[in-house]
Amino acid sequence: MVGVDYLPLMRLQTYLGALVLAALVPLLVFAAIIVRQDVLERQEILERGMQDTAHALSLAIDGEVRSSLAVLETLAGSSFLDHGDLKSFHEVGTRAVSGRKGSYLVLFDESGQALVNSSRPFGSTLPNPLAGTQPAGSEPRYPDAPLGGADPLLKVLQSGRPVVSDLFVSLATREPRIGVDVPVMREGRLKYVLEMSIDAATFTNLLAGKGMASDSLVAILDRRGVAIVSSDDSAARVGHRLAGEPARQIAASDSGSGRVQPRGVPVHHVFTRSPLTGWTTSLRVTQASMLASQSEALTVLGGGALLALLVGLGAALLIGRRIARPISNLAASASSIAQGEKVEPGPVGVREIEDLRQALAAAGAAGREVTAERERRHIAEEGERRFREIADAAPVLIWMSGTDKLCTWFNKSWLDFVGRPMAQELGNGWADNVHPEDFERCLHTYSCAFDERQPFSMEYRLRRHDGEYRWVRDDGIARADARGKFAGYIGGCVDIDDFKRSEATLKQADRHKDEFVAMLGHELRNPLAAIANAAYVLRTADPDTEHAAKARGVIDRQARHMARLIDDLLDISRLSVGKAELSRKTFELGEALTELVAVWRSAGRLGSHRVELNVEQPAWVYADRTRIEQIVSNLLDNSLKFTPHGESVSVEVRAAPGEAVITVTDAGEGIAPQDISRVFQLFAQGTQGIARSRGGMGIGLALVKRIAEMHGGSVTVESEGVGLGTRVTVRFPSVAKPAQEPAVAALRPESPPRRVLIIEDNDDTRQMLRTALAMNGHEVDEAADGASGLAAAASLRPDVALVDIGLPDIDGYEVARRLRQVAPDGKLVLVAITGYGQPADRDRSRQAGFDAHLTKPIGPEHLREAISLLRAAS
Amino acid sequence: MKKILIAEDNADLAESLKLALETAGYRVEVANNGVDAIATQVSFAADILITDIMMPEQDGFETLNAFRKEFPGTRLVVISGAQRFDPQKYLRAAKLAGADATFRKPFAIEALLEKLREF
Repeated sequence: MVGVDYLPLMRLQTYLGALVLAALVPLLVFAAIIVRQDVLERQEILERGMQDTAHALSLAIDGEVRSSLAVLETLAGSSFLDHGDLKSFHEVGTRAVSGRKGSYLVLFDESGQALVNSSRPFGSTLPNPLAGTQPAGSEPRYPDAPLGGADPLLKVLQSGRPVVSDLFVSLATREPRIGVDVPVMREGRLKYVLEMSIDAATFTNLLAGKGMASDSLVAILDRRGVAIVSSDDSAARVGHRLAGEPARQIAASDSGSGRVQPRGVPVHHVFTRSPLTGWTTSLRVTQASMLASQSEALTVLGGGALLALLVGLGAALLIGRRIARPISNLAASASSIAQGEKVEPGPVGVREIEDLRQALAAAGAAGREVTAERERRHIAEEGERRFREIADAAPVLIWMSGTDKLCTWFNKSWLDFVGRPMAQELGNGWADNVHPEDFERCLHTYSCAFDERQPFSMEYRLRRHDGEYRWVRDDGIARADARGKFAGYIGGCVDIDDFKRSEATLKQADRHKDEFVAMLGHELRNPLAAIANAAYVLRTADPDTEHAAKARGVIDRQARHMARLIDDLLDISRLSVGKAELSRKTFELGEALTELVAVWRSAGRLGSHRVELNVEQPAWVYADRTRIEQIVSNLLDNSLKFTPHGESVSVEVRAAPGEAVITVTDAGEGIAPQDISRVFQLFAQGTQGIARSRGGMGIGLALVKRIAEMHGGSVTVESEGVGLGTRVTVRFPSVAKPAQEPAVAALRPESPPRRVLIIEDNDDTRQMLRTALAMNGHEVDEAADGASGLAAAASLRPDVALVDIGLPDIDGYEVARRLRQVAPDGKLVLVAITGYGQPADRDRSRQAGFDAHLTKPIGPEHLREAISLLRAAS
Repeated sequence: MKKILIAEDNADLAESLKLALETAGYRVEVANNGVDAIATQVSFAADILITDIMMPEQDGFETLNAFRKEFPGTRLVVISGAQRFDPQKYLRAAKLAGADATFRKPFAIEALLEKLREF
């Protein structure tokens, strides 16, 4: 490519135009030369033709003159002239020239006297041209020709030789004429002169039929240069002397050719002088007419050349454009390619350019590929860098391996987790942290998935920096490099140890719940079945029989049992969601438990068991007494349930430093060591077997623990094993003995008998309350609805009224308000009985005038509370 | 007067059933578990055994099998509230074990009495 730099920058069309010119110009020049040659040749031929014509004319005139001379010579030899028989000679002479129009014969004697004239009859008087003087002037039509033809006669007389005259104007006819005179010699001396007078027009006829070009000018000039004959009326008229350049040429030479330019018009001039007559034949052709044929050729040539040039240049332009456009496109494409754009130029009509296009396209594609590759690499590197940044910050343990399965990278979280540097983890180093029991399995999972390029997920224990093995879940997946080629694996681990633990706990809780539901069914079905049976007995047997009494006992016990089950359930539900409230007051545990055991004993709930209560020291607590009693009831219930009849159960109360301690000990079935840790779990029970089912729903101990904790206390369970009994110890924070015993603490199991009115529409509840109160010696009256209750109150004046809130006619609140109106002095104690126990419900009943609020079902504890109110009222 | 032996560990349930059956005119004895039931049957020779499934000492299936072997003439009735996940399972199992009738607790006593009359 070196060496082209200096070339001027020109358009392709220009080059092609130059190419066309380079090809055409020499051709045209050559053609022009040929044409010029042709023109010259034609000119030469034309000239030669003109010269030939001139010669031919000259010869024709000579022929005419010779012919006349021959006639004259013949006549001159006539015998008639030997002896002067002029008359006969006239006849002969007249016959001789009869064929020659405009010519006649004249015979002169040696003095110049005309003797015979063939144009005149014989004997006519004829003039003597030599006599007298030469007439002066001239005929105006023929200014340069002399009047009268005496000159030749004179010459012949002087020279004795034939003479051809120049043009003269006949005196007789005043027309131009030529005279040819010959001497008639007799006996060695001139006797006569015979003259043939010829009309000049005769020669005009000679010009006709010579093939002259129409624009050729022909003139026959006499020796003086006066035109005898002329086709040129302007320059050389008959009788006029030829002037100018042609005349000079003719004067200078006998024959020749030349160019003259009369009146600015180029004219070719050819002339020749006859030796016989001395006349000159002059032929003139204008240059233009001479070149007329050539100019046609030249026009054809020039037009053709111009046309060829135009066509050539046009074609060059078109072809140039055809070539230039794809090249321009390619240039544009190349620019685009340079900018990294993908360009597909369309096919072009030029093989070289097509090749170039394909080469460019290929180069462009290659260029793009290179660029794309560079970009990919850049993106990949950038992506890698950012990935690692993000990965390092992620709370997930991330690893990467190469195609050889060996690990190539770990993120910061991993390294922090295992507490080892990257170098130790690389390759197979990481395996050191995997629990030995899990290692084989992990390796197998990883290897199998890796070989199949499949994602995998596995769980294993990974040793943390503190040495603890933590369960992690590791999810791995094949990764690809920037080109999409398999590059190894990448995986992330999440510490699921806590999750696994809570999962196990949840599963266990779920299992307990299922067991509980099963047990709940059993526990509820048994009392229901018993109650249903008893109800049948009561329906069919006489109420006064022992059977009926027993049946009522069954119902009483089972209803209570069910109520307690439901209480416990609701309680544990409330406690579980933290809704339960504690109603705390300060009391002494020993006394409270003494009372509780007494109630149980009196209610027959201790059965045939021996229950010993041992209060070592008074232990004061600030607690919800009902809840504390619930704890002890539960523990007692459990011990009784799992202890064989006749065996003893002991309840002990003692005061430790800062603590009040209750211990319930039985000699029952005990608890297997593996079950000890589960006994406090909700719904849990000892290992189950059909034969070992004892009822009880696994609520008890959970409830106990919860309540103890709510009081800031704790519960522990001990057992030597199955069949070896159980000891449950509950501890509460103790308080100092109050200075003055609260009134509540002074209550006695027995209270003075009072008149009590029960207003309750539910027969069973009413009956139960009545029985319970009557058992304590109170006088009890009943009403089944609000109206009769108010009436009873008005007539009976009770100390206490237990009023159900949900009465059929007037609701309990209204009953309370009316009762307060009847007995406004406050002596009447009003107790609400309701299924609703929320604080809002309590507030509402207080506002209605109630002194206390009992929630159904009403157990012994509640009744005792009601009874204590009776006492307070007194 | 037909004699019925009740094997049931829930005292109140056994008691109430005894009362109901006596009211209906049967002679009834109660055993607290399967072992007691077999011992009682030796002397009592009940025509019908009504037994629970879930009992201590010896469960209902064992009791059923023992009765079928030792006292082939005795009609066998199973009552159960057993419901460890599938309440009907024990009753179906009891049928297969040779029970003449099964009742799920709580049951209508009339239905039981009607069944007993068929025996």
